Order: sequence, then C-alpha cells, then structure tokens
Amino acid sequence: MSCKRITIVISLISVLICCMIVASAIGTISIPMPDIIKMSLNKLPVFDFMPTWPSRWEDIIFQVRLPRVVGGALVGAALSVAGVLFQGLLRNPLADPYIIGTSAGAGLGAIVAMLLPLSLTFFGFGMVPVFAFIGALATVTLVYNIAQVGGKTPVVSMLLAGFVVGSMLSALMYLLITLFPERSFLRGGVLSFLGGSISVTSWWQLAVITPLIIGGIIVAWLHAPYLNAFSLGEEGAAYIGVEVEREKKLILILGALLTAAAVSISGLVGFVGLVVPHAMRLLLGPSHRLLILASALAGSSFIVLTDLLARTVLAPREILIGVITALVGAPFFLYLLRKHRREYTF
Amino acid sequence: MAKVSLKNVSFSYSDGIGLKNITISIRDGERIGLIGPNGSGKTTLLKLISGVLLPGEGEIYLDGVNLKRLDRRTIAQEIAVVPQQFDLPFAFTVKEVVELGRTPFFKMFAGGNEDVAIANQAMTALEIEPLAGRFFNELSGGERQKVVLAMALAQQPKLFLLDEPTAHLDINHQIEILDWVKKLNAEAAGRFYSGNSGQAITVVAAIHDLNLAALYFERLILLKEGRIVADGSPHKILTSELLSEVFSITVEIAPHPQTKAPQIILPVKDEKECV
Repeated sequence: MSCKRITIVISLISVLICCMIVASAIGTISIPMPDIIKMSLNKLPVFDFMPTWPSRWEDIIFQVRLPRVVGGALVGAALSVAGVLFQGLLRNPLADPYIIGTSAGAGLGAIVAMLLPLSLTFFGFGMVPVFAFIGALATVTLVYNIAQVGGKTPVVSMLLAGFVVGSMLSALMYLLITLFPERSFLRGGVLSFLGGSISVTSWWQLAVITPLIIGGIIVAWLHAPYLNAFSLGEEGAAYIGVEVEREKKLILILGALLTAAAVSISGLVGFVGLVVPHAMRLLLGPSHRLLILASALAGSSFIVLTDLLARTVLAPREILIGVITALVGAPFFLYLLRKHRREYTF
Repeated sequence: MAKVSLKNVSFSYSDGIGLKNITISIRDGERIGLIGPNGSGKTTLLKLISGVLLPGEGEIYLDGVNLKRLDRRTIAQEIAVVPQQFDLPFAFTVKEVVELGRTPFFKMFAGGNEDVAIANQAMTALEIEPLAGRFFNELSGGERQKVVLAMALAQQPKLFLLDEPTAHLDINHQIEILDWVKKLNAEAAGRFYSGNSGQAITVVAAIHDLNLAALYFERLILLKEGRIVADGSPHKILTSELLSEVFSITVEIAPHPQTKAPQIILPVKDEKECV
C-alpha cells in the first residue's frame, strides 16, 4: 500500500475512534471523554490509571453504551461493504442491498425467526442472524437465477428482478406482521425493525455477527482486484483472467452475508450501502482495495454518529436510525455529487 | 507449431448460425486481418479464439493444448483482447486501467510492485505516461484506444486479439493505432518487456476498412455468413471478383503507389448524373 493510502486509512480509523468515544460519552448521564479513554486503556495490561470516576460509570460505558456503539459500527461497515460489492459487481452505482432485494430477504428471514419459538433458546444466540442469512442468500440466488439469460446475468435484468423480488418479500414481511399483531416479537417493536434501529443491549448479541462481518470484509478486500476487473463488464473481466461465474457467486454470497449480519441487529437501515460507497468513490477513486477499507471505516463512523443522533436529539424518545441516515446522508451526498460532478461520469 | 489452430470449428447462436466449419492455422508472429461484411462472424471468431465462447463442434488449440482445458487465468496470461466496446462505469485513472491488465498475474497474498512496474513499462511503450493521472472517461477516442492497448500489453501476451481497433476513430488516429499494432507485432521481443524470449506478439484483428487491412496486415481472412471465403495475402484476397461475391459491390483494385498493396477504388454508380 502506498503512503497516501496508509494515511487515508489511519485518518479514517482515528475518525472512527473519536466518533466512538463521543458516542459513548453522551447520554442521560454524560461521562467526560478523558475518563472514557482512561477506563478503556485500563482494559489493556500496560495501562493502569487510578479510577477517579464512580464504578457505575464503567458499567454504563462497558455494559450499556459500548455494545451499542460497536454494534452500530459493525452495521455501518457491513452495509457499506455490501454496497461496494453489489455496485462493483453489477457496474451500477445504484445497486445496494436494498435495490437488489437482499435486505428485504434478510428482513423476512429475521421476522420468520422471531416468529418461531426456537428463536429464544438456541445456545443463547438468536436464530435471527441465521435466518436472515438464509433469507438474503435465497433472495440473491433467486434474483440471480431469474435474471440469468443463456448462462449470463445482464445487469439490467438483475436490477429489475432484484427490485421486483424485493418488493414481493417486503409485502410478505408486512403480511406476517399484520397476521401476528399480538406477538410482540420484535424488541422495540415492529416499526423500529422496519425503520432501522441499533437494538444491541449486550455483548452477547455481537458474538455471532462480529466474526462474520470482519471475516466478510477481509475476504472482500482480498478479492478487490477482481471487483476492479468487473468494471470492464463480465466479458471484459473474463478477458483479463477472471473466472466470472465463480467470482460472481462468491461476491453475491459475501454481500448477502454482510447484509444479513447487519439486518439481524439493526433491522432495515437504508441509505448507508448507497451513500457511503458513493462518497468514498468520489473522494478516493473507484479502486476497490482502498474503497473497501475506506467504506467500511467511514460507514462505521457514519452509523455511530447517526445512532448517537437517533437516541439524543429527541431524548428520551428515539428516532429511527433510517430516518437520520436519510436526512443526514442525502444532503451530504448531494453536496458531493454537485462538487465533484465533473469526475462523476458514467 | 501453430500458435493457434482451429479445426472444423462451428458455432451457432440460439437465433442462427454463427460460424460454420472454420479451419485456420495461425503461426507465431503473424499479423492477420479478419475482413467481411457485418454479421459475417469476425467478432464471433475472435471470441472463440479467446475462449469466452465455446465451439459447438470442432476443437481450438492454443500452443497445441485444447483451449477447453485452460482456465481463464492461464488464457489471459497468453492472450490479450481489445474488445469493440470498452467503457467504464466508474472514474478510473489511466494508470488504474493499465494496471487492470495485470489481473491475470494477481496473487492474493503478495505485494504488486512488479505489476506496477510492468504497467508503467506498458504506458512508456505506448508513450502515454503524461496521461497516467487523467480520468479514462475524459480522454478522446484515440487516447482511450492507446490506453486499452497499453492495458493489453501489460498482460504480456503472446497473442493480441483486436476487435475493430479503429472503429469510431478519425483517419489520423486510425493510422496511429494501426502503426502501434504493427510495431507491437514486429518489435515485441525485448523492447516492451523482458521474459518474452524473443517471440513476436501474434496479432489477429477484425477490421472493416479494406484499404487499411491491405496496408497493415500480411494475411487476410475473408469471411461471409460464417464461412471462410478466402485466406491469404492481400493481393490474393482483395480482388474485384472476391469482393463482388462477398460484399456485392463492383470495385476496381489499384496498387498502392508506394507499397503496391492492393487498394480499392470505389465505383461511381452513374457517371452522367454526377457530372
């Protein structure tokens, strides 16, 4: 990696850490940031600051706020990288987990899991991530097969099929919700699932999805040069040595996995998978090695901040995070689009 | 041994015949032009040689190995394709596009310093270093085509397949690009990259302009409706009899004043009306 890229990645990591500290500090009780830094560093063996803060604060930070902040960061990273994967593969900056129906599939899977009684008692983990992944993968496979014509998968038919299948699955999701109104199967209610909300209340909830998301992002990063190759189209990619069908399947599965992992703890958060990769591509260029890392980090910071807004602006009431991602993200995106429109040619 | 040989190859698209009973032997270092009317199968033939289409009947061999047995990566290390359409959905720089040519050599867990160096050599070879930081999508047609050639060269191929490399270019750039193609074919050896062991790059190009085809290619293959009508030197192929049979036009052939290559003089339908 060149010097410039390392600088960019380190700056983005610093931004993410700052966002996480700020988000941990603010809440019903505000906790000074230096104290948060000290108590976090104390978790490492080399540091030993004298606790000048009430021990209750440590519980608030480590048991309540940090799980949610980390969960938000993971959701942001997963959705952003899924967006990068779908956009790169389909050569279309409009593709994201929502447009091609993957989110709806994951959402339906999650809701089915919540309706089933076993969801409560499976080794302490919910079945939600598993069902969400099955839903997302089934959707991607279905869309992919519907769109396939004579052994090829044209982008336009993939987008159309994705949109149609996604709409059908959303309809089924609403139908299920209407059919079982008495089941309060969703923590925080149905609306917070559909509108998106980081519903993480303990580290346990992150145990399954953390390795999935981090592993998924690493595999995506390793395959970045093939995503670059897909910019030439499927035939063009084949000409420069890409086993198109195999690589395409891998990318779709990764995208489904990341989407499902995010949906299972946050519900349907829109806009991130579309806007973060766009913004990063405008700022840093379309080369995928850097784009994947930068989108993961920027997406994390973005969701950590929007989740902070979601729970503080109208406190004690929470705003749906999907509302904030759209309200904050859209103008920012339009600004970038306007400022860089000359470079933004398709 | 032939670089590429096609033995009784047929291919049909779902809506009709693509190619019928094609047998060609392409020797190392040859520069071959594929000519023929629209829909005669030039592009299909290139796609079969590059392995993205598989023949319905017959076999294709690359260096004596059946193409079916080779994976994409191995093929791309031997064959570079310059397709007719080349557009990018995102704002890649020229340098990034040329580096795409190194994809067949990509190793997942290794640094790509050598690849960057080879991509730079390819840009130097085509004299496009000044464009390195520009956006590909903002270049003129002629510049773009040079970038695509540099990308293909970065693959360090033994065989170049070009599909209408001069389409949409003005006459000046058509000549420039074909000069480059000729140069790459003739001087490939140590000039552009090491490790080629002195071989020339074999070139097969589909080309519409018959006069340019006669000037730049030593062997022409004339196709009509998916069959080979004639295969040989420009003198043998560009005759008024063959051209009237294939293109249904009446033309006169005159020798080029310098090279004596056959050149086509277009007919005027009714002299009296024009005067």
